[in-house]
Amino acid sequence: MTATALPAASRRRLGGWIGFNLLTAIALGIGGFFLGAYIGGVLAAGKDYLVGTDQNDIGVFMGFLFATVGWLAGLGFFNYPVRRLAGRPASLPLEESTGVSRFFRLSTDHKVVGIQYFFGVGAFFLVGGLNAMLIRTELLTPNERFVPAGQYLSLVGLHGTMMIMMTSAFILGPFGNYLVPLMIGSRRMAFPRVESLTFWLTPLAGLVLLSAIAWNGFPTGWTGYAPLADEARAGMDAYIWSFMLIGLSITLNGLNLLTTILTMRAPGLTWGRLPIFVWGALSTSVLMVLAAPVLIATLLMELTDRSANTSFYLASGGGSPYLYENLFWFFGHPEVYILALPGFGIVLEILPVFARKPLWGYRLAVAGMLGVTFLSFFVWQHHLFVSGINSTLRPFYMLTTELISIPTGFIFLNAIGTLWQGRIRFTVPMLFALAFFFNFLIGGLSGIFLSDVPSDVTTHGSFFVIAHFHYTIMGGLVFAFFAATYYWLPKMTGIALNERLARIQFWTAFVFFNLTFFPLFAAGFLDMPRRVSTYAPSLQTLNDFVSASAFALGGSMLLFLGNLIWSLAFARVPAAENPWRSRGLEWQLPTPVPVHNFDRIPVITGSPYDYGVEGAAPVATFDAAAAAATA
Amino acid sequence: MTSVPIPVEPPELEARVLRVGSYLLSAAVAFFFVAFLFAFFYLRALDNNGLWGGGKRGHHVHPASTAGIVILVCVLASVALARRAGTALAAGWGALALGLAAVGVQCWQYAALGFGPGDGGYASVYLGWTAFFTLFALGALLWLEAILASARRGHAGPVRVEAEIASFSLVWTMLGFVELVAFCLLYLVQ
Repeated sequence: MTATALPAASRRRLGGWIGFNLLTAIALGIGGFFLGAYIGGVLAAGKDYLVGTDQNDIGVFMGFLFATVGWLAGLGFFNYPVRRLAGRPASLPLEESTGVSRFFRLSTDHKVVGIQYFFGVGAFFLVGGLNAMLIRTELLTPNERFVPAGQYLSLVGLHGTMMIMMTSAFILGPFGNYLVPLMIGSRRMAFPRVESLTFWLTPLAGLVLLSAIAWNGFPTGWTGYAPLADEARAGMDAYIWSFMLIGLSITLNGLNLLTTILTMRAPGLTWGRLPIFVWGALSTSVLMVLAAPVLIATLLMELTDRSANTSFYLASGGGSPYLYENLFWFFGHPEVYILALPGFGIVLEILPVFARKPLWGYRLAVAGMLGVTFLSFFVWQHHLFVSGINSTLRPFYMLTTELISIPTGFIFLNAIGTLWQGRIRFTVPMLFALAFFFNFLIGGLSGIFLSDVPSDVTTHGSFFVIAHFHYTIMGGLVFAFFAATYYWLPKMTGIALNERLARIQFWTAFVFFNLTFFPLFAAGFLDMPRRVSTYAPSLQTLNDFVSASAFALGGSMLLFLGNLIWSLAFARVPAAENPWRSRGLEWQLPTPVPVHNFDRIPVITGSPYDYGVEGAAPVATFDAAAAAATA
Repeated sequence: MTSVPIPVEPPELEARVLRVGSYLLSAAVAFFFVAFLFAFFYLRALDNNGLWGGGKRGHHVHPASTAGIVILVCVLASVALARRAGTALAAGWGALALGLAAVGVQCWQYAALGFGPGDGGYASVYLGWTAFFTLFALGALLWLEAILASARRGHAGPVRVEAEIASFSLVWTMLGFVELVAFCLLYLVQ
């Protein structure tokens, strides 16, 4: 939304602590919760199906609804629509500010939103990591010792949900929002307010999820399966509401990124020149726009089951818990690729820079990403192989799931072709990118066991599954995140990270990640079940080894945090403009990037991957007349 | 704190962004209701414990089908008018009035249904689908009102109003299609 015809006078600046900012949002959010809970209590009075129960889900949901409205109102998200509804000039700014306070309020600068995502999502990621440490502490002994069985289940659910929710925004949140406009030569995202909204829904979702602790958590794990979800106490309401907020955030983020890529590319940026990370963002966005609304609808059905007496998932009322499983995994499996595809984009973006060679098989990479996007909508029932689905359906879903490994394999071919005879520089981003391929390969190969019906029947519900998805999500996505962080953070912040600490962090993360999760394949084969805090005493040595490795892995994450704080707050060594000698358009800009990115919209004249190509055209020119003459 | 002026952009960019954004929003809306479509067929085929119709004979005769027809006609007429509103603002106000009438009739219908959300699978799907459709319709109508109010007070030029109306029409048409499917399934097929 541009502000070209609108006055700045209407923009309200109350200064100091008062105004539309995070503090006001917290105050109105808390106030809203209690007001909503009170109104919900009044509305629920006399409802037959609540009589005799000791909880009021209507009150809890109304509390969350009002808290959400208060939170967004406190940040100023309603100013624009309310003024437009009243037919008054919209209160759009004519200028962007550059102070520190912009990080604590609604900002329409995509670079601010990217950095908000980086730190905001990162904070909740740390909370999820702490949960993992508690889980591994409990598993030091084969018997219930540290936390009771019910609380252990809640801990596992909280860890899983927090990680899945936050990692959904882990790459496209910070790097997608920050980099896509820079990479396509745009000054902004298509819908800047929506972009800010997608971020501010995320910390709210994290806080709502954490509030489940006040209600003793929820017993379903991250998947929230019915009918357990229908029977669970109010912590389940927090799960439903927070996941719905994330679903909304994912949908809007995908819509915004896709619109930006489709409509705001600079002149000359043909589809064949589009940076591969932008292709990753594009294919992920398709999944976000189409799959996440199904999640929202699924959770709304659960919400009405719990609060309005419907019976979508209650067999005793004409519903079916299998309906939940089908709908949830219709979102849930594309979600796996919402996590993975941006990672593919990042590592393929980084490899050519440090191999000093063009990206091998650019079109193959694009085909791989689009193939994964398409096929991911046809695999969801492999999650239901042991749930009693019609046996004639099994071969189809086994086949589609195995088919999806083909386009995924393209990405490995791209990597091998790019590295072949390259002049490889083993920088920290490159190390993380290479580790991504090692980890993701193990994750992918172990996935074949789970897509195959006979082997899935024996491994389902065991620690084998845990090892598999941690290899794909943590070994893939989180390593890609670190690669991206070490690669782009100097451009985003203008500050260089400490190289020595970064290298130590890489080696500790890589070694202890594998020492933590590889033995879990063995634990799975030895029938160690998921979500249960007790196990056979013969598995204690194995579990103690895994726990010790997990603690060291946690230490590696703290090392990253320490490096971040040390480099950004204390050392503050200015980053070079283009330390990696990258051809990417984002690296042709000054560091830090100016508020509106480009003084003049660039004209794209070459491929971003023509490393070592003699006579290669520069990636862009900022002089339109010169570009026309060259053409 | 310093500040930097926002650069001026060509107006056609805004129209392009709105058009593509509304296509994607329509797709997202469609997939939201696909979940209810799936629920309808799944629960109807399963008929768990014979409770698709709440275990009552004769549930197939919807007690308020006349209201359902009125809602469908109002929504479809509103869609038709909204598509003309880019050139004639009066059509936009007509679309708004008809849309609000559909929402009003839907609210009245809830009071006259004769069954509640706990009366079987059909009741759950019927109430869930129509309630969320009504919320989506209300949201869309607020959007239309904002466009018309800006246009009436002259805060948006004709090019921008036309672009916004075109975007709204796309999403509203998708909602009209959802309502048509809902009517066929919830009233005719049951």
